[in-house]
Amino acid sequence: MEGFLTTPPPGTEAVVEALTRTLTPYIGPNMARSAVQSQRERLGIEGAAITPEQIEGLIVKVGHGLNVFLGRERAAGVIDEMRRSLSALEAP
Amino acid sequence: MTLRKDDAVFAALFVVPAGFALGQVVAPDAAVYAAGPGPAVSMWVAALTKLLLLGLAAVLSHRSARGLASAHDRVASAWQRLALGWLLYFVGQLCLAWYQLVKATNAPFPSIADAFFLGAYPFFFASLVGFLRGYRDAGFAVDTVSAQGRLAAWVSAACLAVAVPLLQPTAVAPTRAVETALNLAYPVLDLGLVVPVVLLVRMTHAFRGGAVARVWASVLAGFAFLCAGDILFAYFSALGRVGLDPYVHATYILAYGLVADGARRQRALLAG
Repeated sequence: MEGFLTTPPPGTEAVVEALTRTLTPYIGPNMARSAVQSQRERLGIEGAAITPEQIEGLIVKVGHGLNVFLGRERAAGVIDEMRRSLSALEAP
Repeated sequence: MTLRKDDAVFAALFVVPAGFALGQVVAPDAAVYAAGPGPAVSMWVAALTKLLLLGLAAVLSHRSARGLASAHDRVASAWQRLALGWLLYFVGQLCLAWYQLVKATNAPFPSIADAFFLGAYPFFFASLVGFLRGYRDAGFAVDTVSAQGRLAAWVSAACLAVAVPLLQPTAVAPTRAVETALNLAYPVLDLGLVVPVVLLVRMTHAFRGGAVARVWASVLAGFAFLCAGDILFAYFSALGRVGLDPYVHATYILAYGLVADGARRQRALLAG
């Protein structure tokens, strides 16, 4: 997330794509996309722009959902993985 | 050892003994049977394999429950109930092994083992329903509650429609009343499990392509084979077709192996 402090955050769709990709090995592409979209709606994230705070909120919400399958420790690892994948994204 | 190699090795634990059992009826003249092991050895292989797989299913389910204890109470409890169900099955199988391996005779039917086998069903049912509720709590439901209710009603009706003609030969077979009752009880209880199993199959389909789907594909396939094994057993027992026992052994070995495999995959997901 540190990268977002100095560069503009990626767009919402790019974030959704990156999170979906990270979740896919665990819950499959369909459920991954559905889980990310549903948490995005719950958090009221609309439009093409997304703030770093919204991204962090989305990552935490989506990641905690995995507790039920992966346990707390492993889900925390996936949350870190999601953060890393987003840090690697280029700003739009 | 890579995960794929683990998968292959574990699958061999139950596919090979199931194939060995099936071979006795499919290819009885094959060299391995004609010149090699007799029925007693086959019985040993089947009984010990079932004990091993049931023990693994119970232990791995219990370890999955412990791994999830701090993460989600309801799902951890569901794994624990599954572990208790398989533990009861293990004890039941141990009772059968006493006759089959120690006394070198066919286990009587009914026997004390049936008390343990029947006692497992409430745990299985509570476990499967617990998984459905737990995954819904966590936001992974694929249907609304009312849609699930409608599907459950349709599946129940279909089970009833299938059960009546399917179990009719067992019901009218010239066996003792207690034997007939048990021959009917197992398939009926299995059909009771079909409703949560079908709902979980829908959920598993939504997870396709992910590791979670592979956990549930194994567990649910195991329950499907358990149901098939009970129906075969009821048929063969009611019709006195003892020579077809290897089919029953193979089906149960696959059932226990698949459930143990699902619990192993869940354990691997937790371990990372």
